[in-house]
Amino acid sequence: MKLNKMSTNKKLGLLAILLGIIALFTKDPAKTSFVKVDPKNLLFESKNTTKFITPFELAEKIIKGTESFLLVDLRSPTEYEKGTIPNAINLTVGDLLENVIGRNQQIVVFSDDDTKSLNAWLALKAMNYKNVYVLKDGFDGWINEILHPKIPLDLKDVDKAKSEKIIQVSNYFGGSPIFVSEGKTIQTEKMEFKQTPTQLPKQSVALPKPEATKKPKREGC
Amino acid sequence: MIAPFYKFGYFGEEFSLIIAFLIGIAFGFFLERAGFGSADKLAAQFYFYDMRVFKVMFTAIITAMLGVFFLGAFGLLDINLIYFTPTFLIPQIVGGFILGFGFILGGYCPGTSVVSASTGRIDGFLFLIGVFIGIFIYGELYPLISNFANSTAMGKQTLHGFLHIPYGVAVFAVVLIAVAGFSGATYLEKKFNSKFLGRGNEAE
Amino acid sequence: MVEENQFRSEESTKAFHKEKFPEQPYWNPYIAGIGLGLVLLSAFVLMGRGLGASGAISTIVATGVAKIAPNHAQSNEFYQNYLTNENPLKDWLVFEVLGVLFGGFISGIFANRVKFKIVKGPRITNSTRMIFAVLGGIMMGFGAKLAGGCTSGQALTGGALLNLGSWAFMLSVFAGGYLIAYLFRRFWL
Repeated sequence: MKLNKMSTNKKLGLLAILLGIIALFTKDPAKTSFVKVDPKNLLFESKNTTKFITPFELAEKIIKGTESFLLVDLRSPTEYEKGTIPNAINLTVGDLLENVIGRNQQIVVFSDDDTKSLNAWLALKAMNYKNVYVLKDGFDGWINEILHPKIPLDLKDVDKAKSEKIIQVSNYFGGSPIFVSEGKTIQTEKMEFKQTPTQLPKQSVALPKPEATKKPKREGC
Repeated sequence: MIAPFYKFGYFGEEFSLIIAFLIGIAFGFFLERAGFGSADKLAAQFYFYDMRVFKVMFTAIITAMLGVFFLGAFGLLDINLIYFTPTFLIPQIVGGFILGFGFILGGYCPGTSVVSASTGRIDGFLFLIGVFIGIFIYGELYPLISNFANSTAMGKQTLHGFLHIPYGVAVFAVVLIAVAGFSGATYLEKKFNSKFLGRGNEAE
Repeated sequence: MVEENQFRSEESTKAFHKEKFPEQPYWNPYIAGIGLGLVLLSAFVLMGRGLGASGAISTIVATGVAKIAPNHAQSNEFYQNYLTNENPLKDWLVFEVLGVLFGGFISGIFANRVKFKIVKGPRITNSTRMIFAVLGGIMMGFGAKLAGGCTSGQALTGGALLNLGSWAFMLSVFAGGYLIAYLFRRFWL
């Protein structure tokens, strides 16, 4: 073979064929596992309570808008249709395993069942996702703490400021606080929401700083 | 460090936009150098006297394909994290034919018309305007044709997955077909170059 | 037409310019191809995504529609794909295409290829060429969206990833082109 007498084009062609032949005998790179789980670390983290975020913390952070969250609703599509946290996307644990969500954001998973959320948390952690949180008490927690928080009417001044804040947050998400006095509900009208969840506010408010929960955009051309 | 870097969170969205701009510059540069900023060079592909469209495209494809394959094999790149468009077979074939017709009529594709407009080609600029109009028409008609556009969905389907052959075999086959295609293309260029004397580029 | 007259009046300067700064030949297609392939590979490695062009134009169109008729864009699923609640133009593909515009210009400048002209075959008039350029663009925009991408996003990116749909698309583009090339040979030969 007189390699130095060949034209550049022929050399390149030869190189390509050579690489092709090597590829023939190479193990399928799409099947290479990149998941390296450190069981000790995982066990430690799963015991750690910092993986939980309470509905109120989440709501406050969304309103502040300085952090970016991807909210993943793990419930069934029918429940998701009925009402969810603004900008949440509906996925199954299986979807999460197929790498459909990006790693550049904080991920908050929620469901109506904390076991399911914890499974999702474990799956994501095992796939080396860094910032994954479970919404404490799931969507029920969101309803009880954000959409329809119980506000006692007879309060001291210190607690008043606190409940004022709760009402603000609740209103922001289109919820309506329930005022209770000595255990009795004052405002009963809004309680109907609970029986007919179809009326849950879906995308009730346009978020002023939408950066907080960004709608994933199609990546393709 | 494992690639893709963005998906592993090594940098954020703001920085990714800078990368987008830099990658775009390189993309535009090579397209222009290849002669893709000029409609006659592109259309020549369909009259056989200058097959650079085929040569450039397939060289790019096998370069990137081999790169992805071997980076993946060395454990440096997680191939499964690269965005992969799902297949909608029939709409894609129909769309492809419309694109082919548009190519003969207009002489560019969207990317090359951008390059062509940037080097002052008036036809390229008008073509680009046309692309805007075409996409707008598609958007307006979308509610009517969405059923068709989403038909024959096959999910994320690879060539080798569809043919039930190993990835490596598919890579080898594509390289072989491309290299054979290159010498075939050069033969055609020589033949048709004499027919349309002086129009084609130097045949390699 | 205006451009043509302008050029005629500057005939002598043009000739001088041509002598002093001759257009450089295009690159060897294989070298340019390897360059493009490496650009595509770097997009895969850095971003985990391929290149695109029509996607950026779709984003601009969708943003425009949303500006003029927000409710209309809201109800259309196609536009919604390209709209975010943030500024939708702050998008990867939009920045990439801005880069393409810039990169093409840089390459053209260094190769003395930047000039206002209409590229066409010798047998058609400027106005026919211009009308069909727009028409071809319209078909291209429509077809690209039906196929879920254009030559960059589908053929190049999907081709390198051995995407079945992209390969079917690519073969169809060539087939469609060759199918009508003979009919329209007057345009280019």
